[in-house]
Amino acid sequence: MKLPSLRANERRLFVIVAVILGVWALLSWGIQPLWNRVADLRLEAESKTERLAALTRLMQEAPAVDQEFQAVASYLSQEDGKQAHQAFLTELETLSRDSGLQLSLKPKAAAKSETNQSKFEVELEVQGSQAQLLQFLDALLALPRLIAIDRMRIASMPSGQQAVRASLVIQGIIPSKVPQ
Amino acid sequence: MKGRLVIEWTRATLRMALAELGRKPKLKLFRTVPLGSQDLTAEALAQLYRALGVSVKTAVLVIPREQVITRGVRFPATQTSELAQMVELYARAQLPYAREQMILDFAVLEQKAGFSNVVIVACQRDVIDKPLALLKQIGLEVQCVTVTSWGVAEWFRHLPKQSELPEPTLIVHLDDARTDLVLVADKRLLSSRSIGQGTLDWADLDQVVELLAIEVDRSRASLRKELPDLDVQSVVLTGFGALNEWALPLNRRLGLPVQVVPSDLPFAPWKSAPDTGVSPVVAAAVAVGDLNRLLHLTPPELKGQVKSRHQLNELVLIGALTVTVISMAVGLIGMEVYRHQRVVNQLEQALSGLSPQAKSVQEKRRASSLVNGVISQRRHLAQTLSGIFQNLPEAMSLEALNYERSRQEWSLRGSAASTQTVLNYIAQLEQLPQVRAVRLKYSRQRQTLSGERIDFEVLVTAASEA
Repeated sequence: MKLPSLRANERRLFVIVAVILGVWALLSWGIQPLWNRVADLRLEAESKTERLAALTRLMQEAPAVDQEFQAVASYLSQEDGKQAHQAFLTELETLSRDSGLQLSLKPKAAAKSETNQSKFEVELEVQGSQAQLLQFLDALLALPRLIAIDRMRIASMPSGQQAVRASLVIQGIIPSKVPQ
Repeated sequence: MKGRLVIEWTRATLRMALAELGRKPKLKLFRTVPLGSQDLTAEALAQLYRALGVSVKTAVLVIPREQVITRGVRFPATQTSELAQMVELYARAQLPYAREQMILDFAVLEQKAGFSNVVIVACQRDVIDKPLALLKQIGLEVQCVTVTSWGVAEWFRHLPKQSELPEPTLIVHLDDARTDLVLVADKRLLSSRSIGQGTLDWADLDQVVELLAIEVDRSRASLRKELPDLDVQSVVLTGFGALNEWALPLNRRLGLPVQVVPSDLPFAPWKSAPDTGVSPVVAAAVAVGDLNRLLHLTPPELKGQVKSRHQLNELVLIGALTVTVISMAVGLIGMEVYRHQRVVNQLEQALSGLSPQAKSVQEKRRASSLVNGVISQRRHLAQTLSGIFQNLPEAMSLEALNYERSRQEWSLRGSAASTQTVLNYIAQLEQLPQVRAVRLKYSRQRQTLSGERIDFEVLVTAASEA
């Protein structure tokens, strides 16, 4: 290494400064970013490994899940929200007719879409005897359709001893399509 | 190639020897140039140096023994630092040169009972400054200045079978225009002399042996003064001349074993050219020898420069090593990055292969869960409703039944024949597995046409669905 026109002390200083700068540059632009990158990649690998393990576990459970799915497949209608709504109203009319109840339906908002499902609401009022009402409720709860009763009010009517009036708010649930 | 260039500057010739340094240094070349009567110029020296065809930038300078003076002194100390101070004081008081005009060094010959026998070697600064200036002009930096006698002693150290001779041994080194007489024992130089005549000066002389014998006797006499306990036990003849012819007569004359050793013997397989007319002993021995064993008549400022250069070289080496280590660390971490990146890519690939199927399974599970949840809720509702009606006593009538899914609460309002009937009904409801708690909100007595009735309202909190 030729360092012309420099005194011995200056040369030493020059070399020390050059070495320090070189080391600093290597540490700052070499080791530090690479080290950070290694740490990031390690974290990424860990999270991906965990995710892969979870997916592998899930895949191991796939036959059981499939079996369970097949068991409830009849509840998963292929209709869209509007069709399901219409069909349900028709079914309600049929049920009330079969039970001998007077049915009055109150219009509600159209089906609302959520992340994995869409929902619609039906509000209805039926009048008849207690036995007819119980028959109606029995048939309603046995429908192969995803419905949940949100509110139910049954009150005896002052006109007749056995006459009752029931008003129900029913929620129909339509899950989003599941790939077969 | 890492080499060492030695320049031996005598009265009649300039010799250059180059050795390849390594675990065992090897002599690569030896050149000699007659100086003639005129002083050597820098241009001529540069030409000679270029003719060597070497790229060495530092050199060792050897000056003739006759250009230095020596003194054998006994000092009451054995520590090198103390001896150096004593030598300094001695030199200022006893040597014939002014201190600032003198360069000196010393070598310890013997240490015994707290005393040291020391040989002090000194020369005038001018003797060294002139060749140093010339060498500097041609770009050669001198790392060490030494004396021919130490070169001869170094040559002797490199002899393969030196132990066969009884010691102390006087080495008579015959050169073209000068002769060194160096006494060595136990691989150390004890005493040295030189005469300004050599083989070429004695070419026409018949009594060379007698001349050599006289010089040997002078050396022995000088040795007796400096080290009275020692005497020469053998003589080695080397250098340039008819050594084999002189050996036997010299042996008879001195009564000592005399052995002729070819000057190039320690440098095998290198052979000196027979027609060089000079001895390669000194320059070649210094080239392959250990500089730490030599006497150093290096000017202090040059020593400082050499030390500074060494420090600088060490600093550069340390810096280079540090940078290399860090660079290797960068490389290793880079490999680690590559390895991790590969693992991440493989995981990514595996995930992308599994994801569609896993998503389908997840959706099926979610749909099943949703359906099961709704069915379970419906079953729960039906069972609760059935429980409410089945447990209803005959003496009780329900007027209103309200259900709120969000609160999981049933409100039953009706009338009963007695409070006890109501309480019994509550107890019945509490037995239902779908019921978590039953609370009587109110009960009120009322008179009717058919008699007394109890109006009540009961709040039933449903248990969470299984």
